[in-house]
Amino acid sequence: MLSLCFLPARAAVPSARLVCVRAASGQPAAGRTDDPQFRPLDIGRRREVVQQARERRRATLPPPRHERQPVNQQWGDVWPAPRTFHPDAVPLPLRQGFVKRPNAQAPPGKHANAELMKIANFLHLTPPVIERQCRALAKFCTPWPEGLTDERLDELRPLEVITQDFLHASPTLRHPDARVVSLKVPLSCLDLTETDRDKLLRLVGDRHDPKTDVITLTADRCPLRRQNRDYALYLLTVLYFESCKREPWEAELRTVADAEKFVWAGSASEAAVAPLGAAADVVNSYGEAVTRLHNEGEDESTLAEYRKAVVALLGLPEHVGAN
Amino acid sequence: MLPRCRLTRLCRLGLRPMSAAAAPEPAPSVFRTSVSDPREHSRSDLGRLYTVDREDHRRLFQVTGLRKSLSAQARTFCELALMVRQPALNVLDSLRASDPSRPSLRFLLYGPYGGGKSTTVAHVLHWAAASGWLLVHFPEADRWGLRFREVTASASDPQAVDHPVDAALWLAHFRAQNAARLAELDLRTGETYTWSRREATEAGSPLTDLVELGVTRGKHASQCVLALLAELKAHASAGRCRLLMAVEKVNAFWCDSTARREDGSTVKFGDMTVIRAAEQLLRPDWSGGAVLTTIAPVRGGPEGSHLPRHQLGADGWRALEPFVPIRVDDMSRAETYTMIDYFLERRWLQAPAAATERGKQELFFRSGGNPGKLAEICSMY
Repeated sequence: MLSLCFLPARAAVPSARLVCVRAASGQPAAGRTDDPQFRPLDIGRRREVVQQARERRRATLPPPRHERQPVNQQWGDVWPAPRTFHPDAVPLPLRQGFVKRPNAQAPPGKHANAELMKIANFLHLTPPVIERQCRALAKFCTPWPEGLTDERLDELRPLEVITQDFLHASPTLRHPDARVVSLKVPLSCLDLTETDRDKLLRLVGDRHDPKTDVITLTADRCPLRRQNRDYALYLLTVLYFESCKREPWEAELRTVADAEKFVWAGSASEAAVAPLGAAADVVNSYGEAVTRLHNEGEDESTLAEYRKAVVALLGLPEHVGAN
Repeated sequence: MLPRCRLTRLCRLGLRPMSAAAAPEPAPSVFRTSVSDPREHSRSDLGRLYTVDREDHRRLFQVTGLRKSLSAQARTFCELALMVRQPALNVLDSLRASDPSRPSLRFLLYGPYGGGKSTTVAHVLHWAAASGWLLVHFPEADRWGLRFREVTASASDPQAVDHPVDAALWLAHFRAQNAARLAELDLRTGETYTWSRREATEAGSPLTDLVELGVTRGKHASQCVLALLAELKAHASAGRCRLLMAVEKVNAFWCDSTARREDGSTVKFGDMTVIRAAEQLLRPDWSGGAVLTTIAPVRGGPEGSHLPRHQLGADGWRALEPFVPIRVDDMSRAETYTMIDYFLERRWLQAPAAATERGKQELFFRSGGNPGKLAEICSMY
C-alpha cells in the first residue's frame, strides 16, 4: 500500500492486484527512490523501446521523392515512358480499392496498393508531354488541304471501314474480335434507280438504317482482318450488281401485294371512288389520306385524316369527320 | 308470370309482383331524356339515357340482337335504356343528310372492348325502324363461322356451305324486326326461285313468303336469305324502300372459320351462303340505304392492333372502302356519372357510398369510363 502513494501520474495501474510500474527505460520512475529491496518488474516488450527503434530506422531513410519534387518540375522527365505505378514518384494522393463499409472506411491509399499497380496508367501521356511530342513530329507533317472539309471528305471518301484493336493481358498477342471488319456506305453515293434501290434494300434487310440511309456490312467469317475486309468489299460489289439485274419473270409475276409502297394512281382505291363523281381536289386529298394510311402505318392521326377526307368525299356534315 | 294463387297471396301480403306491367314509371331526372323517339334526338340529349319504347324493344330485339349483358340488364330493370352518345348522333346526322339516289354509305365503328359499339348499333337500328327503314341486322357475324349450330354442304355449289338452323333463326329475327314494315310496303319478288321439284316461289309473290319459307324449311333457309337480300337490294336501288344493313364484327367475313369440309379443307367465311348474301349488300353497287358495321378482334383474325385496317386486312379494306371510320370510345366522366345515377335509380347499386361524390370518383377510376367494365364492377355491389 505504501508503494501506491508514490506512483507517477502517467503510470497505468491496470488493477489493484498487479503492481507493475512502466517506467522510462534506464531511469527509475519519477518520484521513486531507488529501493534495492524492490526492483521494478518489467513484463513484456516495452512500447517506448520499440517506438524509438522504429523512429531511428525511419530517420535514416531519405524522405519519399514526391515530397522533394519541385512544383515546377517537368513531369515528362519524371515519367518518360510507360511504367508500373510507383507511389513515391507520383505526387498525387490517390486511393483505390474496395472497402466493406464505404461510409465508415476510406479506400486504401497508394502505398503497397496492388490494384493501382495492376491497372494500366497513362502518366507518361499527360497533355504537355503529348504537345511536346506533337511539336517534335510537326516537322514531318504537311498542312491539311484547305478545301478538304468534312462534307467534302464525305463526298470523296464515302466508304467507312471500321476495325477494332484490343489491349489485353493474355498468353497470346492475337484477340479474336480484332478480325471483325464493318463497312458503312451511304446509299446516296451508289448509282441506283428506284427499282435498283428497292431490290438492294430487300437484299440488305435491316442492315440499312432508314434515318441515315447508310448500309452497314459486318464481316467476321474469316480468320484474318485483311480477309474480312476483302470479303466485305466483295459483298458490297455483289449487292450492287445483283440489284441492277432484272429477271424476265419480274415484270410478269409482280403483283400489287408485292409492292413495297402503296401507290394511289391506278390502285383499286382510286377505282372505288371514281363512280362517286366527286371534285378532283376532294378525290386528291382522299388519295393522299389513303396513301399516308397505308405507307406510314395506321394510327389515330392517319385514321383521323382519312375520316376527314372520306366525309368530304361523300358530302357528309363536317362535324362527323371532326373527332 | 307467377301462378294465380301465388299472385293473390302476395297481393294479400301487400307485396306487388315484379312483373313488367307493374313496374313503376321512372321519375324525371337529369340523367334521363324524355325524348324516346330517336328521330328527335339531338345534341341537347347527349350524355343522357333514353328509354326504348316497350313495343319497339320487343319488335327489334326479341329474338336476338342485343349483347347478352345489355339484354339481361334490360330484363332486370324492366326497361331498355340507351345512352345518347356522339358516335350515334354522327351516324344519324349522316343518314339524315344522305341522298337515297347516291351509292349507299358505309360506316365502321371501332374502339375498345366494351366501349359501346353494339349499343350504338342498337340506337341506330331503333332510329331506322322508327324512320320506316327496313333492317338487315347480323348481331354477331363471327358466330356464323365459329359458334354455329350446324353447317351442311350447299346443294347449288359444292364448295359453299349452308346453315340450316342458324339461317332459319336469323330469318325469324328479320321477320320480327321487319314484319310490319314489309306488310306496309308490300314488296314483291322480281324473279322465280325454284327450291325443288315441288317447291318454288314465283315472281311477284310477296317477300314475306320467302321469309316464311326460310323460317319453316331449314334446308332452304340459307338460299332464302341470299334471295331475300338480293331482292331487298333491288328494291332499295329502285327507291321502293330504304334499307339499313348492320353487321357486327364484320372483320370476320375475311377470316377462316372452324368448319371443315369432308375432305378436311378449311371453310372460309366467304364460302358460306349467308355471308355471301351479306356481302352482296357490302358492295357499293346499290343505293337507297346504308351499311353500319363494327369491328372487333375475333378468333382466327389478325392479332395486334384493333384499328380498322389491321383487323379488316387488305381484302376487307378493299371490300368496304370508302367508309367512314367512327371511333366509339370509353365514356367521359359526365357520362359515367350519368350511368351511375341510372344504376342508383334502378336500385342496382345499393351501397350508400356509391351515391357520394367520392364513390362515383372511385367507380370512374376503376372502370376507366369503359361502359362494359363499369357494368361488371357495379354488378358486384
